[in-house]
Amino acid sequence: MSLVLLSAVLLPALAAALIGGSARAARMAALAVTAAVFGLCCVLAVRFPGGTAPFAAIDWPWLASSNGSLDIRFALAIDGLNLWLIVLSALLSVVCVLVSWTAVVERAAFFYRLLLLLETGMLGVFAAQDIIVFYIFFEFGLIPMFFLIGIWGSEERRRAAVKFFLYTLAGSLLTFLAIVTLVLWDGLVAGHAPLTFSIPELTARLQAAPMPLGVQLAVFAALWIGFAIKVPLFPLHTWLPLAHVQAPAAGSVLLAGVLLKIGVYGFLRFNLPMLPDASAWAVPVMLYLGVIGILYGALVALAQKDIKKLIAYSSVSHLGFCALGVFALNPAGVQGGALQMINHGLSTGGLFALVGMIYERYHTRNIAELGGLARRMPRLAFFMLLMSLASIGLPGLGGFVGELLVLIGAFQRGFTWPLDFWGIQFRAIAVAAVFGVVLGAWYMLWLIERVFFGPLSEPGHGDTNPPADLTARESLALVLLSVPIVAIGLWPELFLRPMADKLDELTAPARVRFESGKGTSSGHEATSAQTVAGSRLRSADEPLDRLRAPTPDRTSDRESRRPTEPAPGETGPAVSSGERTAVSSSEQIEVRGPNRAVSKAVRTGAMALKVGPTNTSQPCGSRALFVEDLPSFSLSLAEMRCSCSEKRPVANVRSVAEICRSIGCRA
Amino acid sequence: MTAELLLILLPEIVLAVAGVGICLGGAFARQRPRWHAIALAFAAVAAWCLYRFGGVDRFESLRAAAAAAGSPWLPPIAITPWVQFARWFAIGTVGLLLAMRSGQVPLAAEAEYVGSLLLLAVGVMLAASAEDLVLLFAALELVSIPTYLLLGVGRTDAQGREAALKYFILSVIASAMLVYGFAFLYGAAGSTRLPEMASVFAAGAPGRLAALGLIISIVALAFRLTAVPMHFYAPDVYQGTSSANGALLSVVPKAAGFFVLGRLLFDVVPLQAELCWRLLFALAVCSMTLGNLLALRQENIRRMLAYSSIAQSGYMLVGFCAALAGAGGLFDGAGAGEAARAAGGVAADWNGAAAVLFYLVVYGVAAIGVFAAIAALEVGGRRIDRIDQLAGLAYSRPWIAAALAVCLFSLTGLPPLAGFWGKLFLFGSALAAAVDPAGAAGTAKLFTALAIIGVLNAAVAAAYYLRVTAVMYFQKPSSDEPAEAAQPQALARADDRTTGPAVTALFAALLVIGLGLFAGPLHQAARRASPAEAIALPPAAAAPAPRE
Repeated sequence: MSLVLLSAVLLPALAAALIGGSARAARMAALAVTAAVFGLCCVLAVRFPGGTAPFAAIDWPWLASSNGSLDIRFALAIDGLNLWLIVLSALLSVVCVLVSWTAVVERAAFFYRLLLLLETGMLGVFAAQDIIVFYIFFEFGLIPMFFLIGIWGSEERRRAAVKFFLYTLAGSLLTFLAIVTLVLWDGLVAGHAPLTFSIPELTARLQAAPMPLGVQLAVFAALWIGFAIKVPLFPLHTWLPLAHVQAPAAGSVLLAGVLLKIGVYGFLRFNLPMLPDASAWAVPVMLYLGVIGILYGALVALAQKDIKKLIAYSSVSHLGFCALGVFALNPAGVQGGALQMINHGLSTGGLFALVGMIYERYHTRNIAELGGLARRMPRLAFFMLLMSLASIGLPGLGGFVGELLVLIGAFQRGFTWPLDFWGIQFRAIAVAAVFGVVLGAWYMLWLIERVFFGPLSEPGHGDTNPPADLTARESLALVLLSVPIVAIGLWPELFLRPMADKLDELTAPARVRFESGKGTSSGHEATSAQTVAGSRLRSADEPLDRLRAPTPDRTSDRESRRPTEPAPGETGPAVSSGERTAVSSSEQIEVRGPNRAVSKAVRTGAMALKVGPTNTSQPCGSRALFVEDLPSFSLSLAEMRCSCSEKRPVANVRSVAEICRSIGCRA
Repeated sequence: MTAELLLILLPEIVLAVAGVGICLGGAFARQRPRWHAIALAFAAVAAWCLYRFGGVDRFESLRAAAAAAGSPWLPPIAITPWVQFARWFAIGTVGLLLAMRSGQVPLAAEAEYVGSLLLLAVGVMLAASAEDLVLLFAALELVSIPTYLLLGVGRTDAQGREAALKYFILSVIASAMLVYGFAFLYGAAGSTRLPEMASVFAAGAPGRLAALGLIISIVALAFRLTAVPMHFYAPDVYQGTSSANGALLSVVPKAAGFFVLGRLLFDVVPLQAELCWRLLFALAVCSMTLGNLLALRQENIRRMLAYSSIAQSGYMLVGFCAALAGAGGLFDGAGAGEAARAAGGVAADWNGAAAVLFYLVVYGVAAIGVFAAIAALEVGGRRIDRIDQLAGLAYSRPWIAAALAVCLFSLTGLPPLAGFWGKLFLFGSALAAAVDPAGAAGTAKLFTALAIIGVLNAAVAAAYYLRVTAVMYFQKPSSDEPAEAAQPQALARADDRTTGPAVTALFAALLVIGLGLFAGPLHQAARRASPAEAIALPPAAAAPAPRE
């Protein structure tokens, strides 16, 4: 199986080196190669066993130093996250070759070579399991796309190609710095030698020993810039319309269908698993940017006069949905976001292919000049309507499943949050996202109505020389896209099940931190995990308090709870900062008390906390802490409502709920 | 002892004799022999001598023998892995330049040209291996004077003569500054021999005199490196001279400068690391920024390449800066650097000095490739000056255009080409210096800023490199091109004056791709050659933990 994956990734590059000759020979060869690669990817998809373990793994040493500390390996594997993205890339490459069959005449061999190199780049980005290999394929994909846009594009192609390249490159160079920092931090500061460049290993290490929040935020921001440009998220999207409009049809299909997914993929592969605290911190920002992208993209699309530009802005809108879903951080949202990536690739890829076909016939993309085309080309109109409805999210087609899951995720996040400052905003975001669906339907159906229905308007053609409807080749390309769209719509579980476990594994750490840090967790977890400072959350306390039987300890606890700092005689933790108390042990825990050395050690993360009363003579309500040599962990400080039924120290805990449970609290 | 030493120096001797001999022979030969081929043959012989006789172990055994005999042995040169890397680099680069065999050299002066190239190689090799300040200076002059010859010989056009004169005058000023700096170092140390100076400085605080000497020397060396503040000659000289000379100027003196700078910084005055890395930080940032920003505005391709050369020096200075201060850093007075070195290979692998050596090779190959590609286009005395003259090259000369594009992408630092690995190691060393917990306080933010500035500069640089590629591939050939350029050309042309550069350009492009795919061996070699591995630790230091 690993050989299958390796050949799928490298075969296009090899073929690119060998293809030459006439346009006819080149495109036949390209079709053969892309079809073969698609076949290999289908084999991989069929044989994928699910779960979180990597499948079809390749792990070759590439750049290793003799003392073993620098070990960059050529590592590829398939897991739940990248399985469908790889199949999508292979499928869209076949479609691109079919779409460009007659559209590209000049320097065709060079065109198909670039297309094949781009295919290797895309497959390699998704399959890479080594961080440097990922980056290499990530940047390498820019070069063929640069040439594709610049040579075979439309009027402003040179400017579009250069802007696309430089914009994306600037972001990805900062991502490069972040990547290297991740590796070096893990190696030098956390002290795990040898340095590892392997993504699964790095993820595991960084989850076991997370970086301090400040460093995490800086690295998150640097990673974010590169990926957010590719998504594209709202303020960084300005390269997209120009690049999409000026690119040739095949270029647009691959750009929209695959290259935009690399951004969301990067969030799921790097930001969320490796930087969980920063991700939890950044969730509101990302939710906002997602919903702004949805609405902004949709509104600007409504104003467009060029079909391609309209579809380009619709891409901004749809990828906003993906970002919203992924950063809702619940299973529904994340799976919805991931599935929506696939759906968007298929439907928007199809839309761009269709626009290319329209352009081949009429040499215009201006909506005002076209009209009533359904009468002339019923088959093309059929596919256009199908793709549009898929893009809108009609039930029965794939887009519906993705959008529904994303909205469910957003609503879950918004409406199960306590009704506080953040809760109101999350609710508003969820509701606004629904409007995005309506707007999406509006501009797409309006486009179809103006271009395909209504009075007939055909520049350059007439009743005497009508344009041809779809040829068999073009129909084949569109059928190749339509079948999966319908399949996802009718059997979504088939596509969601392979992804579910891996997506959950990747987003769980961030989700846990987010939910435990911001207030009540999703409701069923320990209700004692509440912040003590910040009376704004006190309103959530009351209903839960009433559920609990009052005990003498609890009343004394409540009295001593009033001042947020404990009395000086007591040893106990004090929350140093108000709002956020999901902390890593190196940051915000301030252990007061006689043992200054202990408190400093805890602050610098050298030691972890073990919880329990120092001596039995103290009342149970005192939150005494003493220290043990344990690996560091993340502690959510809270008031602990111990019932003093049993006091025994606990070790190696991950949440206050566990503390309470193991102390024997009735929480 | 002397005979043994001469045997070790055999490569230099062969090249020097060949160089002088070819220069003399050019005056006396009746018909014109193919001087380039003869010189290449001698270079091959020198390479074989280097391989066979020039090893580090041979030198170390000599040193051991002298120590056993009890007599004080003060050899004029020392062979360390750093020096070996420099010697191989010199022979390889000069060989590549010889293979270029550009038709831009006037035939009457061809012998002097070739001989000067060989002497240039000798100068680089001796400069890297010198153990005495006087010899070091003389070797650097042996790099400069043949460069004057190469720039000026046979030039009849005003631009060429202006370039040669400008380079000469500024180079003389820089050399004077260098001697001045060396004089201060001698005054502070009491000896001109580098090992003695090193022990004097290691024993006690070097003091202000040494710091002054070091600053002046570094700034003087910046001339050779085309780094700020001695970079002003670069645009005019590169613009005025031929492409072949441009290749030479952008690689060989720069390499010599870096090898000498490395020796000064790491061997001689280690306890000034604090001062030096701050100075290099400033020079690096200024060079990168100035070079990249000004290159954006250039219409002349050679001027643009000159500014890019300034920027590339800035990147390499980042590596030295990180090496002095950070995790790969060696000396910080408190011994933490030694502890870091002993603690593991992690720091050594991200050693800034190794990154610089790696980048020198990668940059040298790519720069020679770029200039060779331009030289290959200068058919029949026509000069390629403006970038617009390259329009549509992808149609008329697809192979040359591809080679030029590959080399330019490598200079940008795009994967999977070799330049990407170079930038990875350079900026990785800066980040390692930032991240390293054993590093000095306050350096973390500075080095993070340095890495970010470097990366942003790389993005800016991409703009002008990309512009050349865009002009080549996205524009049709302009109509005022000579007719021969409009037809698709095979590689070998009737006029073989451009075959050499064309072949060299293609070879450089292939080498760049190959080094990009298999960067391991070169990285290993650079790491072994870097001072962290090469320098003999004083006995009190901990031995590095073996990792094999």
